[in-house]
Amino acid sequence: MRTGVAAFAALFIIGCRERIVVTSQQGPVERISGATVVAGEPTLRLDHGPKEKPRAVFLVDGLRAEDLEALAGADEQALRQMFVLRVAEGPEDLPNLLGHYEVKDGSIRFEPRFPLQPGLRYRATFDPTRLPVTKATTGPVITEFVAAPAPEAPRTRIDHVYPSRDVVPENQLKLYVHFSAPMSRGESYRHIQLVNDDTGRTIDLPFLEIAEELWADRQTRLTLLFDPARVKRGLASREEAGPILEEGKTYTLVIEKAWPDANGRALASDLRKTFRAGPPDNLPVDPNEWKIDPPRSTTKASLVIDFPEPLDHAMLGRAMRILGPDGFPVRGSITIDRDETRWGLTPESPWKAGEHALVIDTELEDLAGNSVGRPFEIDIFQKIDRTVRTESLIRTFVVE
Amino acid sequence: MTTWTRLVGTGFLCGFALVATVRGADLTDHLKPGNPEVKSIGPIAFGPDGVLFLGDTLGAKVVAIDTRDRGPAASGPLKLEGANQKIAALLGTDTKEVMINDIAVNPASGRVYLAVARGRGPDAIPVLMRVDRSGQIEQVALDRVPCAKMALPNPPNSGSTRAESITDLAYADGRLIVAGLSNEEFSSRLMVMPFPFSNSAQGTGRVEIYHGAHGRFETKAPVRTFMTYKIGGRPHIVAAYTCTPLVKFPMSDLTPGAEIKGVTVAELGNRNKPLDMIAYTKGGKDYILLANSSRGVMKIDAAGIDTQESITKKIDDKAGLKYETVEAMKGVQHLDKLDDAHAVVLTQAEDGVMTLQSVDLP
Repeated sequence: MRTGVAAFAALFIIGCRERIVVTSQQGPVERISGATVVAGEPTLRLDHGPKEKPRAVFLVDGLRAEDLEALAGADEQALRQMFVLRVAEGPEDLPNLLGHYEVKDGSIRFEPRFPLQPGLRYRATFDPTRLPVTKATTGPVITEFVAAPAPEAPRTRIDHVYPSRDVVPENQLKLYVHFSAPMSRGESYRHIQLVNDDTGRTIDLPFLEIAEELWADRQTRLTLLFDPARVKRGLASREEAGPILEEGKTYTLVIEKAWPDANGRALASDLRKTFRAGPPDNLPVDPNEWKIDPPRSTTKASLVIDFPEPLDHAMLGRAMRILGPDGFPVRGSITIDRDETRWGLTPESPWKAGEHALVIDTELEDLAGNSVGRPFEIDIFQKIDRTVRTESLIRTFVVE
Repeated sequence: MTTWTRLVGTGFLCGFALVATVRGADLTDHLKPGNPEVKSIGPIAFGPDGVLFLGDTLGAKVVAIDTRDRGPAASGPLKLEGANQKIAALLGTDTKEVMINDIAVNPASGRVYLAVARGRGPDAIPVLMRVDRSGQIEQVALDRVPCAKMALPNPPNSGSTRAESITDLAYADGRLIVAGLSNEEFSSRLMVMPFPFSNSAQGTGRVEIYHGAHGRFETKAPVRTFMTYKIGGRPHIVAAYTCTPLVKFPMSDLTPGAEIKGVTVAELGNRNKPLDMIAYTKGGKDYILLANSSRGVMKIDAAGIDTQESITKKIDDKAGLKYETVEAMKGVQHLDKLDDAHAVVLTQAEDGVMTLQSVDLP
């Protein structure tokens, strides 16, 4: 979104000993204001390319035809020495931008290999004394440009943290944090704390810190794994460092708003989610305990399945499907509600009468990582093939 | 001479199916020019012949490229101060927008390769850089490079939010071993991929480790870093897990469906995240150097790793192979072996400035 202020501003200019060029810019293509481009008087310019396909190019204009002709046959190294582009911030000895030089359409052009960073300052320096024909007596022309800041957008919010309940088993395995817009990667764990409300103390390293972090959906969902070494019974770490959550105690997950989103902006607000640890859950998920409420045939009413305990929100979205009497999947939209204890399918087409099958991937987990027919504390390592080979369990029901 | 049975996977843009048997072949022979189209570059590791393996978590694949960097092997010290600042400047961005995800030394040339992300958002651009002994940095182009790709097992379905994060990878004796961790169902995997990549099933074994307490064997513990290591003349995997058992198992055991029992050869202390690991010999003795998040860099005496009995009793903190903490190495983010007498480390100072430099192996 463009405001009244120029999106790209050529900036202030740095004075150089013998020449000061003042430029300003009102549009995506930089224009020289108050100055006319005169042959033999080099000026620097930043062209951002077409709006629909931005492609930044730094240019030297105002060169004499004989210089351009001589430079057209020169190697890139000569242009590189004459026209230097670099990030204007940071130490003085930083290298120049990677990119490609050419002489084209009456200008020396430098196209950076990577897009400009929004809001960052760049310095272009042209040394006319290196021109092959013109014997320049002036010093270098230096112009700084600032890339347009990222467009204004609402602050990123934390939409939800799963599990939704305020009571979780003390061997809770993971949390999902959902954001309203993409977040930045690399410093997540620094902005997330878990506080023991009974002692007021922040728990040291409660989550398994994975270098790449566990993101999904264009960095709008982060998976936080409680360190399994401190969740599983009998592991040294749990015994020495103590379990993370203990039954009967209350905890608060704190996410600081200082955590930058993908555009480098802080979140709209801190998040505090308080929950209590309940008894551990070491039982496998048992679909025989689920209550299936079949809809009537010829209607588009939702099929509703109630679970006696909350299940993993992310996996509920993909680990169950319904096959119709013809054996084909029933298409529709899935809803997960009541604190992840209810799953619903609203079909695109009316239900057909007859026997339907609920197909459940056995990897579906509850909050403590127990999966279908398999508690978390027993480890079974499966062969992994190139093809998807998820074991399934089927329950049937009749639509009348 | 080595005999390679070639079963090259159905490639994407590079590395198409090819079945042939070649004697004494070069590892790059089957790589096809193309663009591996990496979406991210996480862990990286070198094989022989200048072949570099890239872990692409976002692309749910691993990639092999021919760096065409075969030496001669350089010597002398390397020091690149402000590595992150200089890389940011080359890439035309701010230092805070650069992440160095891993480093790997090409044993053929001694150049250090860096897996870089330009940006921290979902549209971050993956970049491969390399640094020579003079501190010169250059980008390694990936748009037309001899390459081959292999999708991770169980790639996410369209619309799925599941992803497998690659935590480390290593190559040895015709196999690429990849450690991964899912962001949904809890499973920590070791995947074994024949290289040249094969289109056939990629086996992985059931790997049990003993985790220092109560007689519990575990198969779900996340592998944080590992290396291939010859023990008694046989190639092994030596893996470091969170909090920090060091486990060995022979690579010959890593066959599809096989059940493998790892031998826990050391317990190096809890509350710790192992980062990178190398093996070396000094003064006729074998050592393992392990960089950690909170316990510094450990020099582990590998003498006895072949005979060390598995730790199968509850331990208080440390047990098994002995180690000392290398006090001179602080703030190490990444570590690799530079040559027989040196390592290269990427360190980060408190002000965030990173330095890539060679250090004497302790």
